[in-house]
Formats: sequence, structure tokens, C-alpha cells
Amino acid sequence: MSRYGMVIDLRSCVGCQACSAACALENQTPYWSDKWRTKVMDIQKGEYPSTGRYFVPTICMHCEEPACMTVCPSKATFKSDEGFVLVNYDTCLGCKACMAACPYGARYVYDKKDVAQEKEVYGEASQHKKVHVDKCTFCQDRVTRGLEPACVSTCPTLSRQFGDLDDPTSTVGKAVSSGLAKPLRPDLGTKPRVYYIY
Amino acid sequence: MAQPMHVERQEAYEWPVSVYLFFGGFGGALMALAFIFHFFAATQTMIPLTVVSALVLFALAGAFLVFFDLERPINAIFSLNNFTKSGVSWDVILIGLNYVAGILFVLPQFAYVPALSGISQALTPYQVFFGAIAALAGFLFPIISGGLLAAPASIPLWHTPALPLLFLITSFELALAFLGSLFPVSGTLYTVLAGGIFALSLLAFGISLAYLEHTHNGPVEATEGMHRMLKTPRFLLLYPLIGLLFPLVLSAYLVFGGLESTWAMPALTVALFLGGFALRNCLVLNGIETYPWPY
Repeated sequence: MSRYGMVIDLRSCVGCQACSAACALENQTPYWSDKWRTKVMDIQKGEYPSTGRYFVPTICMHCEEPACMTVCPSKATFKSDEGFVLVNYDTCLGCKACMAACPYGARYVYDKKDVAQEKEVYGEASQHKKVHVDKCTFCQDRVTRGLEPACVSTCPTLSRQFGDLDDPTSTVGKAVSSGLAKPLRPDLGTKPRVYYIY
Repeated sequence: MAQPMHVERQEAYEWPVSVYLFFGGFGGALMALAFIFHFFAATQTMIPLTVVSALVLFALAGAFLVFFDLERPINAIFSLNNFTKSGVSWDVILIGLNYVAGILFVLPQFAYVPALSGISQALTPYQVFFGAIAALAGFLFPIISGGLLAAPASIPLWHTPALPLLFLITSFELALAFLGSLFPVSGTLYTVLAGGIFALSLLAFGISLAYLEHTHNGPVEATEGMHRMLKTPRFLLLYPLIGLLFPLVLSAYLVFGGLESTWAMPALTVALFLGGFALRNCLVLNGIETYPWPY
């Protein structure tokens, strides 16, 4: 079984937000409420003349030891066979314990207003028919069909790479094994599967 | 536009969670004290009234957990699916245990009611057993519900064992003062009650200092959260002054000054009620998290 993961190269991200748009269209995330499964933070630091501008795409880390899964009282948060951390919309209580536990701020509530708006926008094709806590799925349906996640396939600068972390010949495998790509907050012991090059 | 996203207020928990923590802790402490009073100096009405008060508070806590906080209250039926690990599951179990064991504990007190005399007599041999279960569940509630905030490392303002301990101590402090107001006592009993409140106030003071130390020397988010709390006049007035120092000074005066007053226990109850709620409310609302940006 592949150990899927993502590597995001912050050196080449231009902050175009194409990943956010692709994700929103693919997964019907509530962009109308400014809630995103993946978004690109625009960070400006320093003072003139020593300034810097950085783009940091954020996404669920699909941790191997997810804090969100431990605290979920209904086991609505679970890991799929591929190791993706997913939410069962039917059994989610909406207690938001997972939101508080996630150190990466990757979750949001798909609330009543969002469900109503989604129905208005997508009609019968709407995917989120119930209120629940929502997050990135690594586009599980696409990956099982042999495709890349929407954010990866749409990135114009190839800043996002997806693949088997255990495969030494894959782009992500090479970046991780060489130490070039690093996880965020490894000290928390969550073992993220999303790595950053910066 | 640049977004100063390094420090953000957590968006998961709002004011209903603080009400839930407060009423649940208060109810749990009352239940545990009802069991203790069963062995010492309990009057005919004391145990039933204390247990009923605890159950009313648990009902309020449960209402705030389910209807004011859950996005899908009907799905609360799934809340026990992860009882081995989830704090929310354990809170639900403890509330349930308090109801079942608490009612079975108090029923033998109603032997004088003809309709209940049969069941009361049948339960009398097991009263201590059910009382012990209810007391344990009550005692654990403030710890487990405090652990709900303290366990995840994502919000450093909450991530310390001092928090469940503080919730436990302040809950028992309030419950003692409340019982002192509800069932006025005098003489040695009054001194014992005041002494208990004094000892707990002293503990709460010490734990509060330890907590302050955690926020001062801990991660930047914890420091930022405490700064925000200390900038809130409501918190400053209600917890450190009214909820912490006032009970400490007054209970010390009651114990060491030999004062026995009818207004002291109600005054302590009001002060501890306001302080205890302000503590939980401001803690919940000022939880700070950061996205761990590399920049």
C-alpha cells in the first residue's frame, strides 16, 4: 500500500490561489463564506528596505498520528485504507473538538448556511448535504482513480507534488528522504504527511 | 494584503463551552460532597437537596453541551463511539453515571414516601455503593472536562495540567460555599466549612500562580492569550479579585478571626460563582493558536 503524501515547495509558490479555486470547485467547499480546505497565506515580513513576501499554502497534513482522530467522540474522523484522514458526514456531531485539537488549523464547520448555499449553487449535485466539520480529503476519489489531487494538478509552478513517500524514485520520496522537505511542528508527534520546502 | 496570521484566536469553542464546563464542574463537586455529607452531619433534607441541585446543574451542562454547542445535537447518540480516548465521550459517560448512580443513591432517603418505600428499602443496602459511584463521577467531571481543553497541544494557553486542577478546586470551593448558604450551620461545623473553603482558596491561589508561570514562560501563544485575558477588565475584576482574593481573605478571617456571620457564605457563593465562570469563560474565549508557518 502506498504511503501518500504531499510536498509543497514554498520557493516556487507565486500565491496565485489556483489550488484554492480548483479545490473549491472539485470539493464544493464554501468559498462564499471564505472557508477553504486549502488556502494560500500571504505573509509580508520586515520593514523597508528589508522586507520579504512569502506565500504559504495550507492544507490538512493527513497526519499518521492525527490529534483530531483521537479526540473525536463519534469516530467520525477516521483513516482510510490509503492513510487519508477523513470525516464521516453522517456521524459527525459538530462538537468541534477536532478543530481545537488540530495544530494546523485545517478544519472548519460546514454549517447550515453553507449547506443551504451549496444547494443553491450546485443543486442536486451538491456533495455536502449535512452540517459537519470539513477538511481536505487529499481528493480521495481522484487518487483512487489514479489522478492527482485537484490542487496538485492545477498548480502552474509545480509547487505541489503528490505521491508515495516510501517510493525512493518519486519526486516526493526524493524530497523527503534527502531532508530537503520538512514537516511542520514535528515536535507535536503527529507525523504529518505534508512536507514543506523553504 | 498582508495577513498577520501567526497568532489567531481559536475558532472551535465559544461561550457555551464555558457554561458547560462551569455548571458541570459545580454539579460534580456537589455530587461528591453529597456523598461525603452522607457520613457526616447530614440532615433529612440535606442529601436529597444537594443531589437534586447537582442533577439540575448537570442538566444545564448537558443542555449547553448538546443544544448550544453541537452543530448536530441529534448525532449526540454517536458520542460514545470513542469512549476509550475521547474526552467528550467521557464527559457524556460521567453525566450519565451521575444521573443513574445519583438517583439510586438518593432514593433510600425517600423511604417515608409511601409510593417509594418499597424501592427505597430495596436500595438501602447499596446506597453507599451508588453514592461512591456518583461521587467518583462527580469528582472526575471537572478533571475530564478540564482535560478537554488541556489535552491537545494545539492551544498552549490550555495545554497544562494546572487547568483541570484549577477547575476541580474552584468547583469544590463553590460547592462548599453554596452548601454553606443552603444549610446554615454554626459552631465547630461552621469553622470546619470555612476552613475547607480557606484551604481550597489557598490551593486555587497556588495553582493560579503556577498557571500564570506557565503562561509567562511558556509558548508565545500562551503568553499572548494571558495578555489578552489580563487586558479584559471583566476577567481582572471577576477572577483574581472577586473570585480568588476575596474568598481567600474572607475565609481566612472566618477561620482565624472567629467570625461567624450569616452573610459570609452567601457572599462567598456569589463571589466564587462569578469568579469561577469568568475564569472559564475568559480562558475559552482567549485560547490562542498559531499555524506553524515556516516564516
